Amino acid sequence: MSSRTKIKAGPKTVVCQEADLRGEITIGNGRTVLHPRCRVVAEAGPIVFGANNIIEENAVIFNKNTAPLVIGDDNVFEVGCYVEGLGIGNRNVIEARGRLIGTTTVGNNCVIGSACTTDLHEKMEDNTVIYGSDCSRRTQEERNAAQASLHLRHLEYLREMLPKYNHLKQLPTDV
Amino acid sequence: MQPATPFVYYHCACPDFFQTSGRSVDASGSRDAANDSSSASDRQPYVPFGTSIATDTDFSLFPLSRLYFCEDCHQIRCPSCVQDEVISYYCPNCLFEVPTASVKSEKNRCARNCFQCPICQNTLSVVANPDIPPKEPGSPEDETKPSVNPYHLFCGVCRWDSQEVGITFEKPTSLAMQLQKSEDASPDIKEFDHLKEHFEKFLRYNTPQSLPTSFLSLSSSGSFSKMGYNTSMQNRKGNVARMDDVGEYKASEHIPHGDMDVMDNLINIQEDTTVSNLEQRFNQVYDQPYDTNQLKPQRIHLRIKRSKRCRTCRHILIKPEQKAQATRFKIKLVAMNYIPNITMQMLPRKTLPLRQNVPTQLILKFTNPLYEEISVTLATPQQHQTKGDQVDAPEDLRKPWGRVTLLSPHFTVGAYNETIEYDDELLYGKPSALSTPAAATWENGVYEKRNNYTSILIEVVPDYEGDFKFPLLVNYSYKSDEDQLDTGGYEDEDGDDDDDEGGQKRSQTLERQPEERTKTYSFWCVVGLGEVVQ
Repeated sequence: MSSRTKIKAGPKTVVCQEADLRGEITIGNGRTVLHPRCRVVAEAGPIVFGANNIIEENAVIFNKNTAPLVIGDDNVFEVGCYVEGLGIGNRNVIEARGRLIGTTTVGNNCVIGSACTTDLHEKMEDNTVIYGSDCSRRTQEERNAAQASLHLRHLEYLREMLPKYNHLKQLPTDV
Repeated sequence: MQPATPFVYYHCACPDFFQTSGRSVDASGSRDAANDSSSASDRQPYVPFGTSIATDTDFSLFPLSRLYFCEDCHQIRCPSCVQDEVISYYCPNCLFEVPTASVKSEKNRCARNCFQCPICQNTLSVVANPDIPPKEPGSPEDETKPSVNPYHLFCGVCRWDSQEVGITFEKPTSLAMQLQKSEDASPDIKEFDHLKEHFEKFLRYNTPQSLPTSFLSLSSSGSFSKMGYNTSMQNRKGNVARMDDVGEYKASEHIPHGDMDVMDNLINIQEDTTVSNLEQRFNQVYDQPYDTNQLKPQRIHLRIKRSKRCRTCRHILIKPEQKAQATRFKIKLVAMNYIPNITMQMLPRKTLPLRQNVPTQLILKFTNPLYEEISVTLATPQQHQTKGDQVDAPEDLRKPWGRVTLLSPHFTVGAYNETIEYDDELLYGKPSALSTPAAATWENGVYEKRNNYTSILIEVVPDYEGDFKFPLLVNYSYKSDEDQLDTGGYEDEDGDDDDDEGGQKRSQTLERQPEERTKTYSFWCVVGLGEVVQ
């Protein structure tokens, strides 16, 4: 485990006290929310988040590579998911207990369904959905405005509710 | 093949099968309990498994959870000795109870708002599209103006969206009605309706034969049988003659064959996600399209609640509540509440798998579900034969289960009562209470005797490699509650304070009806201990 922990986050980021952040982590200038008990471990290389991401409880985001793991905007990492990979685009959802492994790269607007896993070295095209017990794949429609606004409302709600029940981590806000 | 996991299967003496072969254990229904016990001790107990126990193929072996118990026959009943009857039809999604009369017309599917995803067969949800303002009803062309309607179906699992195939809805209720229009327009539905119309006259001509609605049958099997397909019908000849009355049918709908197009498409396919898989095609049986874009959401199939009857005595064993929401059962005679539950346990510091020719002790735990103490007698077939019965000794040698020694063939299991769970917790606090009785009775082969269970030791010596399993005859008897009610209800409590009186009464009743005081039942089970290695 990397001994140095260096976290940079935007001023509007909500990080709960019990979130486990290690290594060099940059969180973009947006309303990103990190739930308690999530783990973001930049072991070998840094992890860079964009804006408006949600990282839920027991989600693990791990960077084993020296290259930075760049995660885009508006992604949702649901409860108990595990994320490695080489890069993640925007507006993706990793559902509960979904696994993104190996050197996979994810495009935009993809979904890794509950308990589904990617291949070890996969390049997920935009709008790919992995679902079901066989990890079947299909292509979904482009996200419309309604879904985007739903994500923003989700964020708003979390930003309002989480501080009521959790202590927040104070982070240096020099992004 | 997967390595065998240990199991305890109970044998059902299916009357249909075992009575005809003349080797039934006791399938005669209401045979007297005393006769049972005497016959069981007199004659050689019937081993229902022959020389080998093929648990994979023996249809009369079941785990306890799947068995019923008929109170009138005093017999275990397996799923194949019960008769199923439909209690009610309901939609598993909206839990709407569909009247039996309309099930057929609704084609066994939910006629309200429940659809399954054409891609992944999960339940779809109705989603409003806020970008499009709800418009007033009046334009029926759903398909032509898909973007106008504000509601669509959405699958939360695979993110399928009914807008992809151009299905949208004017209002969020009674979606099935709205979809009906497009459904009715499809040629196969039209053709089916024509066919129905064509045969209607004939069917009506033959209606008097009305099957009870409770019979579990294909909705249309009655109609088919009228058309002479049922050879068991008495007036078959008449039916054949009538069948000729049906005029020739000409198809009214002609669908151009798209086979070549389909083939061209399949040849030029780039990725496999655009081709429907078998399950998707089978869910749309009318046209079974190859193209995923032609898959339509299907209404969800209705489910039924069933009651189960004993086939021998016609008494009801299972009767669920008619309401779809209710999960209670009005009648629930499951074997778990009547016969001892046998589970296995390893002794501390012993592990599976068993080793060939190595004696291994393990624990069989008998849990008593009854409110009376039961006394259990166990037997295994080859034990019986070593006692002197040498008739089929060579057969015995070929038996695949090796040697099984019951260290305690007779024991009692305490009665069940509801407070046991609380007692258990108290006992766990005091380890002395746990260890002392176990140590005292260890020599008798009883490992542990508490509350309503008794754990006994058995020793097995597997002779062969492979799966190890052995049959076990369980004989248990208890003082019946019903009979005590007849002879004087307070017999149970008389034990300590009024010994004389109680003893007297007991002796009297014993003299009067000794065979009705105790009830004795027996059943076979097969205990599997998994793989044997060398």
